Amino acid sequence: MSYVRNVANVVATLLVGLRVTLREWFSRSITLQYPEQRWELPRGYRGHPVLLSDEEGKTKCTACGLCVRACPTDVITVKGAKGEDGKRVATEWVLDMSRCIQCNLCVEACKFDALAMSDRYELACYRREDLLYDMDTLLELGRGDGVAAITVGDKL
Amino acid sequence: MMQAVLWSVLKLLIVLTFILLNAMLLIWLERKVSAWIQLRLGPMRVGRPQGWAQSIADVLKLLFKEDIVPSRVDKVLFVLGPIIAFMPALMVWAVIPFGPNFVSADLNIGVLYIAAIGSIGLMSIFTGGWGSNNKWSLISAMRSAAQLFSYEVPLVLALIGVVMLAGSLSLTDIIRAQQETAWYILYQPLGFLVFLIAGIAEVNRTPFDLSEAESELVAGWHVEYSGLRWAMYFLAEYGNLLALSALAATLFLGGWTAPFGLDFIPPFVWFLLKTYLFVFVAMWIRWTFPRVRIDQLMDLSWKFLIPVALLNIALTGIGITIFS
Amino acid sequence: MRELTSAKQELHREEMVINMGPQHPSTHGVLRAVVTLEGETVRGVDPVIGYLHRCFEKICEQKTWTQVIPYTDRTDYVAALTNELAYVLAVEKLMGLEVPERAQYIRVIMAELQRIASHLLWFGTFGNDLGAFTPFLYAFRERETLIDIFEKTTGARLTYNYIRLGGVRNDLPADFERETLAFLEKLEKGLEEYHNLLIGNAIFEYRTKGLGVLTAEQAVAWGASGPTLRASGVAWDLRKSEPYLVYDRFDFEVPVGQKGDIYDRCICRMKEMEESAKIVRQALEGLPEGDVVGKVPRVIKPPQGQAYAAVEAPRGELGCFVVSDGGIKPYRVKWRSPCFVHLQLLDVIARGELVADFIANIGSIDIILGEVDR
Repeated sequence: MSYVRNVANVVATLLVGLRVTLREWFSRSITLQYPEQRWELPRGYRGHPVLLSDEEGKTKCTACGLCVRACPTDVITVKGAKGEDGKRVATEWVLDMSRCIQCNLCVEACKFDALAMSDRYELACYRREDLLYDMDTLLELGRGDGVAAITVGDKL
Repeated sequence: MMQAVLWSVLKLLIVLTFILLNAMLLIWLERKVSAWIQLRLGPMRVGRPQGWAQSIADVLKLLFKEDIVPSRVDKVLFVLGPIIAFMPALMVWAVIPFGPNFVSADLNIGVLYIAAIGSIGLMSIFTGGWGSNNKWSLISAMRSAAQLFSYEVPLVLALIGVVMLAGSLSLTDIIRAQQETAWYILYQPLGFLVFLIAGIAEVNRTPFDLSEAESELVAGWHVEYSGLRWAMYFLAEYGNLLALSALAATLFLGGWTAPFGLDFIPPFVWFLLKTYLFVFVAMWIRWTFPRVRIDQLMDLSWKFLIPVALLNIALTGIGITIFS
Repeated sequence: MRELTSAKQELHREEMVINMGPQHPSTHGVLRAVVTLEGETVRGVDPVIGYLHRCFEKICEQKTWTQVIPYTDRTDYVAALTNELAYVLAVEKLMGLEVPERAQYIRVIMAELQRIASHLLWFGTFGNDLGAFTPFLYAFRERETLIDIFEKTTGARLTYNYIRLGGVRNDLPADFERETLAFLEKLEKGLEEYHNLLIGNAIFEYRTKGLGVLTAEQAVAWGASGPTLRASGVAWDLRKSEPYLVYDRFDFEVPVGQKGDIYDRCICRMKEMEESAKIVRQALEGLPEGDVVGKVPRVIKPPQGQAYAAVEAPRGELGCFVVSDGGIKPYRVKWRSPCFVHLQLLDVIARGELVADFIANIGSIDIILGEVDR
């Protein structure tokens, strides 16, 4: 008798499983057809650091080096010089994207609101050198839409 | 004489094309069905709509791949494996009626022939698995040997009920008998259940895909295969599924006969519809259940399927005696 | 000649040594297990680790105290927030930092959501180990919603770098509560579906019940923790027994198994998801207003000394031991990872069972090789 009950139990649970897959069979798929359909990124998505510019389109970076020190993977190279008005200004700001871990620590370290995270995620390229982003590129990317600088204690 | 030979060759080519095309369709279908069940879309890129050309692209790609025979394998067995794999999938079709008067060879021992052919499939896995000289494929070969030996018995026992009802071993006669009475799935629900389970085990599909078992044995007997040889195993797998489905449609669902007097649809279409119904059931089962373990598989066969199949034979006998 | 005939009479038996991994679909990363087989029966398991070793602990000594946080994400990469929590709690203990209440609540919410995400991933991969591929994608459907919530909150989908010394990086987004509650409702439905599809399935029960048994004594002796320990009947949960953060304010239960077999470990994890959902609901209700970061010195220089903090990670007790020499960099960071401990159990629980059970055993202790090797 227990044999029959056991068999009945097995069949019952298997049928329950089949019902689940049958229901999902006719439900809508949840995947995106990637290059055509795109995921809408939330504000504050951490792509990679970019440089913000002031109203005149110049960098706000003063080459103080805080970001360089904050970076856990040492991917930032900054050089600065005295500008015309006597203030220090960055002349070179290179990001080695091949090693950047997109941790946001540089943005948090920056005291001059010169850094933000972009929402770029398609970073593939053919040559390794292409992953070295120089200051002009980063400034240009920093003028994009999805750029956000979120630092410690911010409200989203 | 010459004409007869040519006619045979032509028939063979037709069947071969039919199977290969259907096997490729089945591969595409499997990917689509699994995707639909799993809330995905499946292949969408190669051929619109719904990526219909995916299998064609895959087969072409596999054709052009390098033919690798690993250095330490048993070459004869390694080469022989995929060829043997295709044999049962092709040979079964000789006796399956696609429609009235549309059968390659109407053997009067059709069912027996199918049972005999079915066990050749085991040889391909065994030769491939042993010949690969790989530990994974060895385990897989041993598993599949045990599995197929155990499942041959209930499969044949399940067919006996059908044969008793029809009083003939010829598949055409069995269909005609069903035309006169009703589909045998109604008279033989137990037999159909046993046939379904044993059949799925026979063609090595989840939950009985122990010899492939990608999460345990990586890919089982075809670990070392690549390119065209692998493609042949793959196509054979689906050829076997198709053959099994056609057999189920013939034996239990009335083959090419039209139900409810829907005669305006040609018999061949009915045959295909019923075959694909079974294919869908097999896919549905595959994408629902986890895999059983080898000892449980043996238990299922010897402690459940065979007693049930024997019970079915007894019931069928009693039923025939009472009602005739 | 005589030797030949006697050899013929005796059936030749040989154990087969098989190399499972480092490339194998079911070793959850890059575990290599040297398995001794007799037929299909496992006679011995020898896990070989180190394929994912990245010198995590040594790297920490080269980084400042803050810079270590993104690195911790990369140990147990499916539960990154819990790793950050363990490290941050240890450093905070060392420095005696005050953490605002709101930040503590947010940490609890995130840690529990992370536990759900991690268990969902475990459920999917475990089904995969047993040969059922569909539950994997159903689990990922729910997990995806959760990851989207994480993405909105932290800006990343996997390596969050969210928990900071003295609090968390930023406040929760505006619609966090609504979305999370919606997710929890979705999860309830999902859990029911998983039960119908896999956990309640007869084949699943046959594959897991009475296998991979770990007795309570063995579990304690080997230093197991988390669901692996609790399945054996030992109700040891750091959230209850040594409450950290604000866990003592919430009402939840610790699911405990009886037999310590694979099935119990699975059930424990499934129930833990429900309990986590309960905690998240309570925490969202009692979420106080206020800052999310406390007063933190500009340059972090913990005083000389050492501290150990442990959290209940999804996989067990995740401990972090930090030593400071008073400088801007840690003198030593030691990671007590539950997976490393559990991996050693493999031989204990899998010996004498079949190859298929061995795979189920690996899945049931839920190892993440990133954490084992570090």
